[in-house]
Amino acid sequence: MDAGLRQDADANATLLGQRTGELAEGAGDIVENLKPQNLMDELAQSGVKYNQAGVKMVTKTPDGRLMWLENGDSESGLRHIVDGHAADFASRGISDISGFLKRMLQETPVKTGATKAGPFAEYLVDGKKYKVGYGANGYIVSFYPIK
Amino acid sequence: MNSMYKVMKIYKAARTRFIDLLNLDTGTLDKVFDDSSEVDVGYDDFEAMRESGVYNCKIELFGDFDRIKTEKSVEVTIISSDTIIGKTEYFKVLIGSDVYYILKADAKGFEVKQKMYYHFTRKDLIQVDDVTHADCL
Repeated sequence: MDAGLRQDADANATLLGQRTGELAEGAGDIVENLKPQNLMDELAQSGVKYNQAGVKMVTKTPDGRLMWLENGDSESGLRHIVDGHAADFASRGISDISGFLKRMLQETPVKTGATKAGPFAEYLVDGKKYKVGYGANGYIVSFYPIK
Repeated sequence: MNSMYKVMKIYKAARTRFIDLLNLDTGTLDKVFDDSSEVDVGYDDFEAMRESGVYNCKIELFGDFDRIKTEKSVEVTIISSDTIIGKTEYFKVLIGSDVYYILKADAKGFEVKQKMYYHFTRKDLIQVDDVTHADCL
């Protein structure tokens, strides 16, 4: 895992990114922006239905798919993920779920597929597997660690 | 040894769900995670489970072994080291009187003893009656 994946730095990065909406730097760490303006613009122009104020993270996969995470509710999105799986992520040392998800989605999945409700992908990060379920439009529905 | 469970409550989300299962033999209430429908189309899932229904269930513990007892770990007693569910190898373990399953792969690097320490954050539903979770197949 490179320095950019350090969790403490990530947590700070997320907070700074949310505050400024721009690339920020602090305490010697390059911190990331979870909502780059160019991707927010691309999301706005894509024609998909989304809640702009609720967007927590937007990124692009290696194959060019735009994917985004919203605050969501108990059924999908970040609130759903945190409610159901914060402890599972914490046991793997992950506190900044949005930042971790963003970096993961920029890698190539080890498996992809399609459920009755939409696509899913599995990723391998530091020898541990994770599954993300998303809509055909790129909206992230679920995300959790798996074996 | 089959464990029969009554579905007490289902917490449904968009793609997955949590289910409160009451072990009818021990009285233990387990909140289990069901992502059986989050697999490729064509595999059977556990969606037919309904509240108040009684099912024969198998539950996997999602966590890791510990070399020593920690605040988070529990002592598990391995009662079978050669349990296969689908095509996946499991330890069949007891916590108190309750039966659970732990991936044998979790013991990599550990000396396997009858009693071991394990910490977990989730209980995953891996089999309901004759339907096995696709990830085990």
